[in-house]
Amino acid sequence: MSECTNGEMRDLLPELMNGRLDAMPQLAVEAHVTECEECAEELELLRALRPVLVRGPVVDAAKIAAAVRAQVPAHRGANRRATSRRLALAAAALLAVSAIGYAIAVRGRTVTPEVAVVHTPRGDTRDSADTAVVTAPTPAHAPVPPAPRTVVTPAPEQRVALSPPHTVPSSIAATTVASVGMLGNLADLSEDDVRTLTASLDGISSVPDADPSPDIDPLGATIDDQSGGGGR
Amino acid sequence: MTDHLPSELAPDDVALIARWRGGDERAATLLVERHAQRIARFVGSLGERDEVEEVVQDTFVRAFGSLDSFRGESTFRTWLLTIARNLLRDRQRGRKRAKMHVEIQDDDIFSSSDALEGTVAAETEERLRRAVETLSPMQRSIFTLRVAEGLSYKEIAIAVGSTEGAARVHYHNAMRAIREKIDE
Repeated sequence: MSECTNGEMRDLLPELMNGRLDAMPQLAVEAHVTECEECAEELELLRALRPVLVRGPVVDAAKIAAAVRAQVPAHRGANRRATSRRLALAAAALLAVSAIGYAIAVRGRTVTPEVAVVHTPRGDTRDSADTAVVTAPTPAHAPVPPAPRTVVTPAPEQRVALSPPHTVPSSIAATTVASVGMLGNLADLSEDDVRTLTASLDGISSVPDADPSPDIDPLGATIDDQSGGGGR
Repeated sequence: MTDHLPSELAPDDVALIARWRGGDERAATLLVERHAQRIARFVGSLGERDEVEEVVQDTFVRAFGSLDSFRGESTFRTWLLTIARNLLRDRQRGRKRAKMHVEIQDDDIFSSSDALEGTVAAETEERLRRAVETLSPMQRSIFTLRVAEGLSYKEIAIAVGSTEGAARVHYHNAMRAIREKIDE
């Protein structure tokens, strides 16, 4: 029997047997097989080997499927990120409400989550009359009140920009809390109250946790071939 | 079961994965039923005997648990084979077995050998089985993936963590070894 010299055709015999060739390559390989005795014999051998190879351990697919459904709820993986985002938003809203509720409980008054502006007086003076402050109100429906965003229009003698209450240096003897619109009650909060409120809000992150990386490395290490019969 | 549907009507893996991501747990069942047996064959070809079903189950649990990392760059089947191979490697390392190659036992294949005994077909099949048995785990797994599953060398390379060229060489070496064995 002559040795086949058409390695490309011979290499496609398993594809031909498994019906994985497109029409044109299939015709080409079939034509080659009719003329090549060695490939015809090899194709016959492959067809005889296939039933031997497909016999293997029998597993209970239904049992495995049940285990998968029990251990991995549907859409858990792909929707994990979206779920985390929703949870983060819900947690942020809950924290904001809790912080406000805490402030209300402490003061026993109704406070709306508007912007509080703290500024230092000029020199030793505790009179705020010489400072003009304009605040940017926060929409009432915002789930997480942002840190006070302010635009300061200094009066002629003003020198202090605004900062979150918890960053006010302790050396300041006193602070003045101003409010805009409905924030009259917030002015009555003590420095500690405001610090507690803002500290709670500072801990909120709008970025949900990233999906944990799967502990699988599909293209990782290889199984060592112990045959010594194959060349790499 | 997908077997109940003509192949042209059966949803492909990508469609089933999308359905599962949308909350359809039945899609997971269909995917498992479609691929479980071939994953078991692959695991068996790599020398695992005692815990094939456990490995297959772990493969699917792991796959569905990290499905968001499946980019579709390979087929779902190849991805499953890769996971199975990694799980099996970890198990084999854990056992610290000195010998990974577990010989195929007679009762693995011929559960109804009595009925076939004495026939030419049975003798031929037995000879072929013996020839396959002489292959190394890597040769056997590659040969099985190529002949029984119809995978391309590229898919095989991904599944076994090798290269296309190495997969091709292993396949042809396996074919030569089988020929020599049955010609003895």
